[in-house]
Amino acid sequence: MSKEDVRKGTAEKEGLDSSLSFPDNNLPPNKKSILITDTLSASGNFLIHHFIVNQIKSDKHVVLVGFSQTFNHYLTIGRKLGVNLTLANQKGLLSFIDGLTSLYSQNSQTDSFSKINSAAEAATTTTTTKTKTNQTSALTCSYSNSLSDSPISKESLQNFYKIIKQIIETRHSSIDDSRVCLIFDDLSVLIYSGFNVRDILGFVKACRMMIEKYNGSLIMLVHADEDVTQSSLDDELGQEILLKSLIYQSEYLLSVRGLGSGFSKDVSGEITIARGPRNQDKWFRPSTLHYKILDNNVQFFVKGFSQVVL
Amino acid sequence: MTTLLLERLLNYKESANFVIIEDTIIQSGYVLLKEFIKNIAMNQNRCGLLLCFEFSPEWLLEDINSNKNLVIFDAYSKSDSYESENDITSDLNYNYIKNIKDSSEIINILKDTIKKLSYSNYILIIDSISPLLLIDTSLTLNFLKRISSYLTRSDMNSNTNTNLIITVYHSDIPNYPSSGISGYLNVRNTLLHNIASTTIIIKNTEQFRKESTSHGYIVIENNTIINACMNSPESSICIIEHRKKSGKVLYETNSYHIDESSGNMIIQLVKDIRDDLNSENNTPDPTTANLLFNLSLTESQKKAKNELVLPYVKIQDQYEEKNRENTITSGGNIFYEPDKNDDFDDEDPDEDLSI
Repeated sequence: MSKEDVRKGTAEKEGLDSSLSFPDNNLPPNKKSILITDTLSASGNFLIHHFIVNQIKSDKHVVLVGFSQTFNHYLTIGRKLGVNLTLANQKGLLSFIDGLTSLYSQNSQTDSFSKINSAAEAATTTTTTKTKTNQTSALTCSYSNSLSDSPISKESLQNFYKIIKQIIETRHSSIDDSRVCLIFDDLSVLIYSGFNVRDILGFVKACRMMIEKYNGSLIMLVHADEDVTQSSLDDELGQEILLKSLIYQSEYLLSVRGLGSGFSKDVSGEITIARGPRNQDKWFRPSTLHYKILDNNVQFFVKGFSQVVL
Repeated sequence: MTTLLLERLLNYKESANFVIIEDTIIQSGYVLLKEFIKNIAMNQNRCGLLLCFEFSPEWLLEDINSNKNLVIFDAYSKSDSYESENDITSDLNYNYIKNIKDSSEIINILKDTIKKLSYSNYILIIDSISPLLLIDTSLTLNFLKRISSYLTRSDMNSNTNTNLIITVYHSDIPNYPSSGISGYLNVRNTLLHNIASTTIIIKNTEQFRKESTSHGYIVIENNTIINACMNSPESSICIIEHRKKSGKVLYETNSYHIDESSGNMIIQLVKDIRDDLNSENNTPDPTTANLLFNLSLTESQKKAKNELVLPYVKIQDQYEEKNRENTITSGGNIFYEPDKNDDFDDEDPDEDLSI
């Protein structure tokens, strides 16, 4: 990439930060939550990386709960964006929690804690074989009727919450201005796994209350495809209820979608930055941008002002 | 100039029993709810009972300076047993509710608190009934009905009962079908509207304009439930239906926003766009306007025109009358005249059947 391209890239990258216009160094405001929604045609993953990179570059803390990707994925992309996540982990700025293994782990909390701290995933895979016998009971019970209260599903989420809380309390709360950012990537996996919507909402509420105590912020990713937003079947009701309930709880909504007119080589999709129902900020300006995902960064531009068109 | 309905409701000058603020993700009703809470403190005899299910009491009371007249029932912080319960200390002004599934427990806590207080007017504000609806629809309605009948019963206060319940309902969150009922209980139209005396539906100006001009057909573009016009503080509109005790129903559409400098709410009347469109139709009739010669009729000419009987009309009327006389007894007659080629005989073709 030539110097000019890099300069253009960084200038356009600031397109998202300048549109969000968060007051304090582009970091998410304290005690607020951001909900990212995406669809099958446009993944919202790049936003997760954007927020991680912003936090690490400003020496602030991140607790990343990965349900859909392994740590390696974030590590590789972080490297492309100029941030070394292993180093950040060692410095105590970043903690990665492997959501799926921790959620079904019936071991004591110290075991899970040591699993999580290591950047290598090898440690986690050996311990999962031990816990497999305990896991089946958790998995089968979670397919129960969503109307009934599944105690196992609530218990797994409560145990998982305790793991997250422990990590935040031990690694990220001792410094006053840690601005710890708890990122969930992504919450739809919980619905797919069969957890009760009420239990998931209770879990998110507990995490939000905890993060508010430490003056941090919460970022969640949920999938919002067409069949979710206009659901007619009972199975999809859970997804719609989760999505709308989370929207009501959030201050900032970032909605990522494909272009209405179809697939384009030059524009990956559209992102709308909207005001959430809880938001009462006077400085906030909603907007809609187009973006294109390149090899090493993401370009944001005003609708219709793609480089190719101009 | 009469004050607008929203203003009268916010100042508690309009008698109402149960106010439901129906909102959606497009425009939230929390600005109004917070305004209701703020206005409670204006009267010393009024006590606000704040029951929080969906949001923390701290967030609801963010811009409110004094909460002297407020008693908080926190069903948000400790209701899911995620935290250890060692540090729960309730006092008269701040009560924790741990189990939201048990509506009797909530009602008993409310009743006990009211008995210890000595205000003349109670206003129960529920921040949202969605967490209850997610448990069970009939549980929610049972709870609302019971608390409503407790607060508005006649022996509650010496003078006429002015107790009020205000709640927010998110009309776009679907409900699970209750067990045993194949369809969905239509919470909004059949059930909540029956309990409520006043319904305030919150809309966004963009949404309102589209609905007024599109005659009921709304296009959802590109799967966008989230759009850039959402929750704009300057574009809130509410459509109010208020049922008075006398039986009269008032409808009004108001717009509101918070003035940045003073922090007060400014309310304006919104005229329906449809009225403006209809008034456009009252333009003069193009067939008689702007002509050099006169095509219009005077009154006497119109009268003469109406009295004129046209020639064929008389015979038609006579024919109809004759037919009516003939057919009045029989249900319908068939008049058959056989042709030359018809083999008409009076035998019954079914005679040989042994039915």
